[in-house]
Amino acid sequence: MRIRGFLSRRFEPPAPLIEASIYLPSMGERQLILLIDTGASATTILDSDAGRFGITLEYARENLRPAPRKVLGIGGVAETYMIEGAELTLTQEDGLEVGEALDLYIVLHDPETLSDEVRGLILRLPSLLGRDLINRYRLYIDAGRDEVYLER
Amino acid sequence: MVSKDRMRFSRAHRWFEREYGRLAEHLDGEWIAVEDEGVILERDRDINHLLRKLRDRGLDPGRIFVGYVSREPLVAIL
Repeated sequence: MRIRGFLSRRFEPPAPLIEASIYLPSMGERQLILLIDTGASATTILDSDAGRFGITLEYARENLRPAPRKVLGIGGVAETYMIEGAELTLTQEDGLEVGEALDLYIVLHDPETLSDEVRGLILRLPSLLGRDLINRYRLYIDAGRDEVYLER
Repeated sequence: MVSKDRMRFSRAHRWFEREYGRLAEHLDGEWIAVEDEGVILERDRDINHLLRKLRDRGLDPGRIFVGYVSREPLVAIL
């Protein structure tokens, strides 16, 4: 079973991305693009996708559970929350779908603590497919052949 | 079976990646919402304004591809 990603030339050097949909309890299904990030422990929704999904800092503070463990990252002070019981759906080469259960991290930066320039850069960062899911597959990246896929 | 929402999102995203160089020439510094291949619904320099415009039209931004266009490639250490 193989799930194709692709190399995006919006990044320098090109970065491996993958399309997915995510089911969030009480919010329903949403679509997103994830950066395949072997440096990330957990699959994580970052600011711009959180905004698309309607997850603001105010919403998170009132409705989401703070992440049970401290999360270390690059990019200033951030608040980290967790949504338990999420399901990520990936599409195989043959068009069939595969669902992966996970506890999803949400990392939100407080815009009031950031300069406009830093805020703009953080908003450009894609959400991350972390090792909690990558490790369930074999990850294949061959930039020379423009190939990215997850396989098992 | 892949839903219509997912197929539309995938077409929009693949078009965005394919046409990114051309988009960057014309829409540098803007966020754009792409509904389907070649269909730009809204654009704005501020993502929050863009998301508000979509919601004001009764659309769910969580089901629509939203991307930032820049002549500068993104260099990030994550």
